[in-house]
Amino acid sequence: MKIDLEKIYLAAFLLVFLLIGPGFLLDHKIEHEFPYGYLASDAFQHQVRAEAIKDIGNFKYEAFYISQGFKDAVGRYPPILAHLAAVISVVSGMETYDSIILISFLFISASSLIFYLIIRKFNEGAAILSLPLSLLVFSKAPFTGFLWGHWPSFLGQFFLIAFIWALANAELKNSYALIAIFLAGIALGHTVVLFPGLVMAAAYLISKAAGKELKFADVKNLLIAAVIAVISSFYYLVIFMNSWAKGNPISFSPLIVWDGNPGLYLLDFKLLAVFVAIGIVLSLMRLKNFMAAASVSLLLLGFGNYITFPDRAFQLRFFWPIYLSFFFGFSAYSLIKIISKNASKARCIAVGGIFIFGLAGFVKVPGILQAEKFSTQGIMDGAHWEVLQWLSKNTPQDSNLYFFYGDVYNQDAILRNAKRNHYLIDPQDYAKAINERKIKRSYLTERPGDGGGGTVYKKSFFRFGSHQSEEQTEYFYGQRNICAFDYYVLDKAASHPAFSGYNMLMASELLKKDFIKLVFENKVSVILKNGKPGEDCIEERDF
Amino acid sequence: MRKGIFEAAKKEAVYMGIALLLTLVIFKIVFYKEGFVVVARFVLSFYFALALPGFSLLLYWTEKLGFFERFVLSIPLSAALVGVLSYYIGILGVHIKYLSFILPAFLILLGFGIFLFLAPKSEINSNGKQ
Repeated sequence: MKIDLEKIYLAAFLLVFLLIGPGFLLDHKIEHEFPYGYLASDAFQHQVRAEAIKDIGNFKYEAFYISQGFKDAVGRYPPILAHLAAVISVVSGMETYDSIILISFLFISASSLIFYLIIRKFNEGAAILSLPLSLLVFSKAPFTGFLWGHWPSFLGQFFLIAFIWALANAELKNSYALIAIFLAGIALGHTVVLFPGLVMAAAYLISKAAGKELKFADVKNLLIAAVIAVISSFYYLVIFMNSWAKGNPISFSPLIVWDGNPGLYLLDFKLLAVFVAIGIVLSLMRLKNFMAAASVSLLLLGFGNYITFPDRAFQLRFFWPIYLSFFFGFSAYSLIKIISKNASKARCIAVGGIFIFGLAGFVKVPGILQAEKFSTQGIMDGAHWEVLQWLSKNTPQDSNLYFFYGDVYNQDAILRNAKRNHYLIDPQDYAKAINERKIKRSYLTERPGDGGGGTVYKKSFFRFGSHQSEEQTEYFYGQRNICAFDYYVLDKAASHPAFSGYNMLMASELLKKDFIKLVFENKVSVILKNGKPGEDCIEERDF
Repeated sequence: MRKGIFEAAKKEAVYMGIALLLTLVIFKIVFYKEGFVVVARFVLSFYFALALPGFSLLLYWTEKLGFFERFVLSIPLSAALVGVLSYYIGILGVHIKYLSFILPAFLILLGFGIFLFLAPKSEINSNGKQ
């Protein structure tokens, strides 16, 4: 029996990739008791949207508890990720918070393998040597981006890579169908990735024209694909143009450093950047080749922050370890050929194996960027999850919940898991009350929710209104009488004991009224039920 | 031609079985703290919803694309089709709890149908690239 070394190499790569990514992060478990490995509000935002779609059945409207109480807010977020997470959750029986993070990881691993296949069309040895660089999507900056929930961007780029593959295989009969489907995937996966998609299509046509290989059939093929993609994305694109495109318009605002965010820079690759740079130089001499043209374009798109789209350019950089792998593999392959004159497949696999071991970060190798081992449960814990689950299952659907200070509640998408209208105390106003030693009836209060792209609703198919511009500011943020609410959530523990102490004081003051009852308690929180919302529930005084 | 189709299908089924087995082994190593049933349930669900729909549609290009290439590409193809269609059909009123089973099954059957009846005759043989 013939042993296929390349397949063994690919299987080993996949094993290492999954081990250092989801393996370590998710504590080598598929199912968890609560959202595990979530480090920021955005991650919860996607998880709770998938959960809402699973509950409601579709994404015609955004769930009211996501969109600040509005029941007619149209579902405007690119829908694919949440739908796929819901589908996997339904089929497998696992929770959406587990399915969404796991499939996001699997889409990244598939991205690196598809890019390998694209490079393989160019050169088999270069492809083998390029693959290990993809492990660096688990280096500090991109991995942090993942943990913060940039999942739709990762998904959009996964479709972008599939789109590049389809372009590279455009000679296949009826390939327009594949090109169209992947383009539609980008449009509904992460719409802004359509721009890099257009650049890739242009790179394809230009490289073909430069090589004097461009035929009318190639252009026709692309045009048919574009028409199918536009038709199949049209319904969502109308929503996108009336929400995100208006709420977050293109602005020419160069940004050199992505402040407060995990940006990846070329110099972060350290010595590996030398390999990449050599590969870039070699590629610039072969721009008639689509793969070289595409890789150079993807590199340049990552520098888009110096012109416009700073956030999007930095998001593209999360995938630089995959996009730049062509340069890396090409340059390593050329080097092997120069040194040994024999860059056989077996030799490339042997060197690739060394690269995998070095880049995976199992041992510290100085002078190069390596993958990081992230192992964290994230910002959620079992007790807070229990509180949110209790609220979602034991309170009437039209209840109004009031969250007093909690350490994790500033990542407010967490609160949407209560699946009810919810309000959150302003921590600064709360701290002021503590400092002034006052118990008050009204506090500055936020109505948290997802306002990204504008909370729009439909007036007709093409006409939209915006709740954010039509509602008074006080609807979203202002002084609110706590007695108007149905349930209160007060944390018993906080990083600053003054907050938890004040929470417990508030709880005891509220419980002095016989119509307020303790309905739930665990080690981190208490939940009180107000039997007479609107009635005087607390005595204002100094303490 | 029919014999060729069955031979090709048999070969594909064997390769798919090996791929599934290998995926199970890799997942069991990566998620070693998880029970086998949970791992198998996830892997089978992933195959059902996010690999087989695209894979069956890619059978159309069996002769031009090897098994591994079709298998890897089946993931974005399934993801795009299941994602886009579940969004639209959901809006039309079919609950995702039904769609999650119906849609992948329909796409799998559609792909096989295209392979059997619409794929170019020259491409339906058992000598496809692996």
